[in-house]
Amino acid sequence: MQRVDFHPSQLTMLIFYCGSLFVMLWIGIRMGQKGRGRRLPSPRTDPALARDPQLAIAPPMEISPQITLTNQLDDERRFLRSLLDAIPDIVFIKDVNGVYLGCNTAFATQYVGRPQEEIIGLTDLELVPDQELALNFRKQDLEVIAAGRSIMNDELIPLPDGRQIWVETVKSPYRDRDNRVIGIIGVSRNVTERRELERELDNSRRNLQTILDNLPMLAWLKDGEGRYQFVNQSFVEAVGKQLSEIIGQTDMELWSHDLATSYRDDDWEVMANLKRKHIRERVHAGRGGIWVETFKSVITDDQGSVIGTVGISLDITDRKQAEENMMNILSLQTATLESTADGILVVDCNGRWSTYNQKFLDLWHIPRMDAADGDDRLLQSHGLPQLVDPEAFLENGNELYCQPEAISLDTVAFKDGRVYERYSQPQRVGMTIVGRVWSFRDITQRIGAERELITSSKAAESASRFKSVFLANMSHEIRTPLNAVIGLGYLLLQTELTAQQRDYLGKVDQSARSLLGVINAILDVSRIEAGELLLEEIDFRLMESLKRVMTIVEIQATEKGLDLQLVINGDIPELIRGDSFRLEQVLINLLGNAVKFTNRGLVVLSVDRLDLRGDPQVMLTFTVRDSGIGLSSEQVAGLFRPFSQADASTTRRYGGSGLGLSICKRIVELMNGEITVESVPKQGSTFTVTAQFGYAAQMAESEPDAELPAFHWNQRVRLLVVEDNQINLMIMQEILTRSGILVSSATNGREAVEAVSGGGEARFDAILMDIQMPEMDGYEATRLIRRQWSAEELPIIAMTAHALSEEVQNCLDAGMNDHLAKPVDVEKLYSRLRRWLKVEGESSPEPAAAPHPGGALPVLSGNRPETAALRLNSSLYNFREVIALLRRTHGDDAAMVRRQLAAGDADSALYVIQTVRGIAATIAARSLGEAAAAVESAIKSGDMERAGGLLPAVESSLAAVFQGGDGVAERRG
Amino acid sequence: MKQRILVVEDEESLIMLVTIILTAQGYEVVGARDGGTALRELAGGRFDLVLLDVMLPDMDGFEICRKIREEPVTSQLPVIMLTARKSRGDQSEGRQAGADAFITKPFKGAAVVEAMRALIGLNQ
Repeated sequence: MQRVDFHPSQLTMLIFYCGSLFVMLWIGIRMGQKGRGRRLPSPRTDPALARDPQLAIAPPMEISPQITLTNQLDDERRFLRSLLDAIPDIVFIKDVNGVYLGCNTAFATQYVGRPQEEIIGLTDLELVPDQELALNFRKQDLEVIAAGRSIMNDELIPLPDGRQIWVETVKSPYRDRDNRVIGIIGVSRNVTERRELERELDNSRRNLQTILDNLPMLAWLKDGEGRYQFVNQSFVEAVGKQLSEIIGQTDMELWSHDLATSYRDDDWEVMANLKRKHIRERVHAGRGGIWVETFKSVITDDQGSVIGTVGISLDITDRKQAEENMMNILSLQTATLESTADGILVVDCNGRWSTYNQKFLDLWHIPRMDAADGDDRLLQSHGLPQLVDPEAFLENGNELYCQPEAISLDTVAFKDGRVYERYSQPQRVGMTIVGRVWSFRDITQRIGAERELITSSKAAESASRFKSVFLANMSHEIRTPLNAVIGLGYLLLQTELTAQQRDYLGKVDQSARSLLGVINAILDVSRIEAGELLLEEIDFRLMESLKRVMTIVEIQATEKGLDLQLVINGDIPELIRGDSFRLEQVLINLLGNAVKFTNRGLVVLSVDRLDLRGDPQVMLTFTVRDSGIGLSSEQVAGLFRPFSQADASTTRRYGGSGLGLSICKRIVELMNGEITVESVPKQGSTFTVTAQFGYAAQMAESEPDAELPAFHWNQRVRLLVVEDNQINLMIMQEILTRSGILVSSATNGREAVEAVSGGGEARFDAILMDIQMPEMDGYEATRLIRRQWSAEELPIIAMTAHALSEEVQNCLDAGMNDHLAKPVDVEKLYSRLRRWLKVEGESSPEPAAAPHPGGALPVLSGNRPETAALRLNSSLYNFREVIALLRRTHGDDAAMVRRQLAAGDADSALYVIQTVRGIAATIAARSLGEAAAAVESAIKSGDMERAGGLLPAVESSLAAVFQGGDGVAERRG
Repeated sequence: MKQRILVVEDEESLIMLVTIILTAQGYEVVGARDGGTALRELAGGRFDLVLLDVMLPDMDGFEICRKIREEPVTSQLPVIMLTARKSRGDQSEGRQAGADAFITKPFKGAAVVEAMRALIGLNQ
């Protein structure tokens, strides 16, 4: 079953048509009633046949022999004859055998086409060419004779001219005086035209019915008494009865009493007021209730009198549901709009407000009454004066009128200080833009917070900048005098000193270096924070770095009686590329900590290789394992944060800045590695460092002398040292001269420029340039010098105090070749000179005296060897010098202890032997350390005799040290 | 391409109704209010089916149907005739004239669609 959905406009048209059709229908019904009345004439009422049969049965040709014709009778017959001939209907008389007894002219001329005289005496079989039709006529005649009453037939008969016409024939019995049927009288009328009209009317009614039946509404027509005259198919289906059970009935027979009464009352009201009535009601029909909308109206006749009512009724349940849904959506929209903190306005394309919420009105201070107008100009006239910049507001709005597709976002500032974020986007129905949705969000607080944030962030930035500058300055200010202290101390140690002076001087040196270590750590942290900690990329020998580290830490380990081990697992490349200094810093820190927090047992550094064959990088793991006090998980958590140690008590007990591990972590991260720790309190800790290195760019042989701190240059090297600080200058001169280098000096940039602008050949092989100097700084001097000499011809190496990356960059920008941080590390200085002068340095001609490849062990006469940090910058010293110094200052210590023991001066003896043990730890002379410790232990226990007996072991160990047979030499042998 | 239907019916509201029903089904509908117009439309354009009322002002539907069958171009064109139930003779005369199917007035839209589908299949 097809369902036809009508478009509302189509429905309207159809309803309009229905109105006119109803009128047609009504006329049709009345015509039909008239037609029926005419079509079924009662034979009795036919005046020509019934009123005086005597006349009818007296055909002109058939004259009764019993009757004498009189004139009067003749007249009557003529009258009758004329009468019969005058009427348009055909009249004929046949006897019981079907023989024509008579007919009128119409029959003869129109239907038969022969003169009357020829017809009389013939039968239909002889008259009608269509024999079937003739037999049918005869059959009708016999029916009439048998029935003895009139019978009417509608039939299509052919005419002599070939046309066919519809006739309505009434055949009646023809009786004699005794009332016996002696024949039939027939009267036929041509009803062709009427039938055509009827057919047309019928067709119209069917058309109308078709249309009304196809409407999705009930349609009906009632007469003045409320009887249904017409209903459509929908009506029939709604009632659930047969059409025949509905037509002619009133509402009372179709509906419940209440419903019928209300319908009847509606009809009465419509007929009384002559007005259309519109009713919306819920009725119970079929499954549950439905909503119907009914229109009722009156029908009037030509004269305007009311003859009935028409009505149509639509099922609007769906529409009602849609309306309800729409109400829900609207309420949802309202609720949503009002629940948001934003002000919202929707404007249609004509500038009318479609929707807005209370927040919107509130923020613009628009009274609700005014808003009802819904004109966008209202907002402009009312709102603009409230704004800080109304022109910008209008301009942004106008721009969007030109770009309906755009999404906008700007801010609107009110004079009262409020700031709103204004967002807008087009409102679309399907693809069509029908308006624009504006939303206003109060961002006053956010703006305030942002401003505060900017202010505080600026303050923080400036504070941070201040801190950087401060740190840089501080490092400069502290390192410069420290440089002097260390350098002068070194020079002083070269002179003849008493043992006590040497001891004090050693302590001065220790303290200065300790302070330098702390400053370096702080500087490292500030570099890390500034992101300025950069790694060098230099080829180095890993084993040498490891040995250097072990040597330094061994001193402490030995002192505490700990076993320090180095374990190499797998194939470690001899030469790798990276920052050896930083790697050593990390390992010394970890090992130093391990020793510091371990009182018994051992500390192990193991090295493993992680990378696989073919990897472009070397990945190494360094594991430092100890059997110390360990760490709790809480302590581990804060371990790598700057300025934090395990806890405050630890700090008091073990000392340290708390910076070491955070620096290590950062360094390791720069090496693409990580540092992790596993620890069990009271059992020990394991720190694991992974780090990535490159393969060496050069062959292993290419840097043969890197390990040797001192050089005898094959050629005379001329250096210009530019330095305004006289002490620093003196130290540099002293150190360089001792290496056989010719040193000239300048105390500022201007002097330096003058010194090198002598013309012709460069008088110097290289320049060591301070940066901050009076009259002309190092940058300016370099720039001037570079006008004459290229970097190739005259290398300039900066001596930078601040050691910040920015400063380094400035140096390179000014045209310098390289830089060295102050205080200048001699080993590094030589290494750089070799690089830039492209000369080969040669090792000392006395290799036996310099067996320690790491060299660079400071020799201290104090009895308390110091921490690892102290050793970092130890390369100022030549090992040979260390041994010489040791021999000079401690050569007869064993004899001295013996004398003191003999004199009963146990305290002095204890002091001296402790000093010896400290020295042993410092130079990693294990035998000497053990021997001294044994003597010390004996003295402490009061057993002077045993102490004296142990002294020869000290003496022989000392002798071994002096011959390179113990300590570092023994190990490296 | 849409299937084109010629509706020959002198009652304009009925043409409108049929147009609404058939357009909703995806057909294209052309209306003709008398036989002369109908024959001119048939001569001038392609149609897939004719819905033909019997009673028309200038000539009856049977005559139009006969002319459709006589014309070689339209001799195979499906024709549905709209007849009145009253005149049983209509159907026999229509069959003689060459009509393919008959729909009796009053009819429901679904009946027309059904009859058309039986004759020319589903509209694509």
